[in-house]
Amino acid sequence: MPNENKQINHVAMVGDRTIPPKDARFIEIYIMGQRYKVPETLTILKAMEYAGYQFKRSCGCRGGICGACGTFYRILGDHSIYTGLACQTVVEPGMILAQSPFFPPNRADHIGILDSKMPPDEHIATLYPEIFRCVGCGTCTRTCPMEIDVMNYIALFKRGDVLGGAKESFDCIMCGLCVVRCPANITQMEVGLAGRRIAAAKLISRSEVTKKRAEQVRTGRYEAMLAELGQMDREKLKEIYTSREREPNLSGPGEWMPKDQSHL
Amino acid sequence: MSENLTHVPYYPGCSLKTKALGYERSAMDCAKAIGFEMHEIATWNCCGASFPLTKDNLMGLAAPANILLEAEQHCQEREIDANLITLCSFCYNTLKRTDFAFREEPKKLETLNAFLKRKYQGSVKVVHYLEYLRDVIGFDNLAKMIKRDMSNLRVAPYYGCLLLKPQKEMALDDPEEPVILHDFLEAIGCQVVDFPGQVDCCGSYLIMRDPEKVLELSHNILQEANDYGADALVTACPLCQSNLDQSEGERRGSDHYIGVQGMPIFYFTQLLAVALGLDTEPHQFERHCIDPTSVLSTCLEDGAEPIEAKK
Amino acid sequence: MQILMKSNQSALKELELATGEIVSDCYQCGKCTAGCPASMDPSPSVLIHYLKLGLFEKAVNSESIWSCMGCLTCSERCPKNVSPAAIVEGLKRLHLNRMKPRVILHALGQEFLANSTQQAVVSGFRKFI
Repeated sequence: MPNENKQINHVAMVGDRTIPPKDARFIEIYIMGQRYKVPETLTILKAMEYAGYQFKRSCGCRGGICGACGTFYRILGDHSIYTGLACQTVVEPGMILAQSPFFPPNRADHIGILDSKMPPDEHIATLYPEIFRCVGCGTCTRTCPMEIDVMNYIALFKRGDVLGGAKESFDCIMCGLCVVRCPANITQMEVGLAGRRIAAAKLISRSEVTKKRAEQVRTGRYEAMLAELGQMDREKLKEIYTSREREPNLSGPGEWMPKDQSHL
Repeated sequence: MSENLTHVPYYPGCSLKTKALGYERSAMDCAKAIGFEMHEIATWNCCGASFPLTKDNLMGLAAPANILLEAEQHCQEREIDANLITLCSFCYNTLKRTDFAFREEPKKLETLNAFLKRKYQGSVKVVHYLEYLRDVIGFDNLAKMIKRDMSNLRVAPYYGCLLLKPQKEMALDDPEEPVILHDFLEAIGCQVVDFPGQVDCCGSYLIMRDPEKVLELSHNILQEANDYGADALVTACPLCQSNLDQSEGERRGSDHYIGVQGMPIFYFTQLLAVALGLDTEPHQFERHCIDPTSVLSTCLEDGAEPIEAKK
Repeated sequence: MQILMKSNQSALKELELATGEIVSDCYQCGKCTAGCPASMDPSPSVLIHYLKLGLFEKAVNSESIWSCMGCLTCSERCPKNVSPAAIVEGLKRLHLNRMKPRVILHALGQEFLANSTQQAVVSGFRKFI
């Protein structure tokens, strides 16, 4: 009985259940000013959980793409500030960590982008006039964990090239680390988002193929197929899934067609 | 065709890509007709439009330094002389003064170099389009290329402030009695209207905080030019153009409006394009508040005979 | 506005270091004021006079410094190579570095932002925000 209780208490501590690899060395890191010993192969996220922290914020996909776990850190003895995603960055000896769950952004009203008649460059200028405060220091670029040239996309928006800025900012995962450090108090990630929305609404031509497919879906082309799949039993589903035809990787457009084309 | 034209690296600045696009297009078209080709450097950012007057402000030099190092790379890759041509007076001023600051105090460049994405070696020379016309092409040679008779047009050269000041660093012309735009206008065949307000400030960035002041200053300049008999003004600065033009547009219908049609304000390259006989349709005259084409009717007429080459 | 926690003398020294100007070089000829297009009151020469007299607070809190448009006529004409424009900018910097902007960015209005050239907005922000 007592053992069962102990088991329940430890369920929440994910890191505690980490099984370090054989011969894994332990290193010292600092979390919120406290010193801990953690196995050296863990990511920041896992290391903090190993130490007993539970993430209710600053944690998401754990796969490097959602932007929730953007982290600033330093290394003992080094004045520099480093950045990374906690779920992707492996701990180093002397790492000094403090997670920040949220940093206040400035987000203008993006509603109305679709209907607006304003030219794209003027639209960005009216939504985010603070981009004209940019001093070109490049801190944002140096901070970005996705290695985007943030200063460059802001520069593109400043000179009216909304499509260019939209493309340059495409990889942004909205982690907000650039926002924290900007001396001109610009919220770069929101500017990029607005830029991509404006570009998509006004500057990028529609894909004819997508339009066609959407129309096909709307007129019920796939209803029968879906109904059929829905009726199938588990074994049959497994069978048709494992034996399905797959387009080979890296085949060029139009190079490959399935043998069974009845569902195309 | 491109092989015969001298490759000149070009820094546009933000305004030249939007509000002053006509300035850029006319400058580029004229360049090709004259014998050089302006090549925009691949990566650039806004210069900041402001050279910091406080000496301890290194942050204000970061953006221009970035531009200079991109220009330097552009020239090194092509093994050409590191000249960077600009059109906008603000950009010209900011970049040239930054370059001067780095030469005068190399320590500043050293500090910034530790901070920038690459080290700037200090090789770039910043040149204004007018400077290029005067010193490389030569106004005499320019005069020989003129195709249209501009002699009925009385044009007042308006210099503004940042093209010329501070003289020690800009070293383009005398800030009190400049002649470069006068000589340019003479070379293209216009009647030059010398007037005292040619170096008076249009109000600059006060348009953000005190537009009434800009209205007052602009009006004084335009009224004086009109009193001295000018049909139009030329300028080299998008902000001067905007301040003078929009202020004039706002006064339409009031007692202060200049004449019946208002006083048009050209970019000097727009007028040069007319004089060279180029197609001016892409040069965005329609973007001006005061329509410039009204005063151009004498020299834009179809079938106007090309004039004899001047000796 | 209580900008300074230090003495007038040390504040002036700091301003001189920041701008590279030496206020005591000015001999009050008034050429700067004569050439200044802004209706500055106190005028550039009077502002410098305040600084020479040790009236730093009076200079730094005067409204007229915000009327400077950076035309540099004063600096060009000064026979002693003093730049009143630099001094005025130094005084403005003291306010702006403490996050006391002169223009409220988000009150600028759509029409202004849409119609201005970037030069006006960028340089304006450097001087007023």
